[in-house]
Amino acid sequence: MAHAIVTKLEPGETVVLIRRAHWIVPLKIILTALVLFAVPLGVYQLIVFAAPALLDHTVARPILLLLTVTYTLAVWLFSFTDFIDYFLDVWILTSGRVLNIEQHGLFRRTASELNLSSIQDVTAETKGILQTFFKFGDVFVQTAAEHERFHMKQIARPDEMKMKIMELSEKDRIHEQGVGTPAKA
Amino acid sequence: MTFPLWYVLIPFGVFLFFFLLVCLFNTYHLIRYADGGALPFLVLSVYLAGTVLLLGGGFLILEPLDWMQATTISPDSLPNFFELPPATLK
Repeated sequence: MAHAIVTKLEPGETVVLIRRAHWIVPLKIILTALVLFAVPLGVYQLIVFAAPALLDHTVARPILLLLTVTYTLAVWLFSFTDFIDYFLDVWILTSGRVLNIEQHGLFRRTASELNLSSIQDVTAETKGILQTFFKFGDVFVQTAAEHERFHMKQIARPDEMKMKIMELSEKDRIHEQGVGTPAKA
Repeated sequence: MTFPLWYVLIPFGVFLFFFLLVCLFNTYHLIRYADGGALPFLVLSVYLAGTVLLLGGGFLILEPLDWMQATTISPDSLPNFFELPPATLK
């Protein structure tokens, strides 16, 4: 199914690939959240060890519990906002275009597209042990315009994406040239 | 200075307002921009269930506490929580 943002495909245009960042990205968010959720337990153990009187104090106890609740809610909120940021970032490759849909925090969302025929260069970059082992990395798509460049961050199988873009771009260019050439009499 | 303990709930209320506002935006983004498959529905369900669970749990923890008690803050009123108990000689 095409992403909700792709409201209209051109006649004859088909969706070839829909990609999000690699699953290691949400895994990092979840693991960080789990570690952060465990922090109050560590602090509790520390208080039990160093200052147990705090837990029975009439004022300190409610304040500590209030801080714990606030902290837990904040971890949940920021972790999930981060996750939604990941979840709503999508790259779509169609037979005619590359679409880059990105959510930046709460109030900024960008949806940009490149015609495959205008693509000059595609670079797939995998760096580091983690990216090499789990087969993810960045893909840079460069057009003829000096500054126009798509950056697909931490995408799964970047080489496959690069090959697909190059292949479709070449097809699109040949198709456009074929259409543009006047028919011989 | 003496004040009722519920005063500390005021900043918590501000935080809660911010929390609910961001929750609302996150839910809106998920409904509006994610495609209509089962995965966004699952993500939304987990998100809302977790939010309700944490808010409910927080309420259950904080509700039984006596927030009406007066609190005094002065250098003399602060107990030394880290003071070691006196050693007893046998």
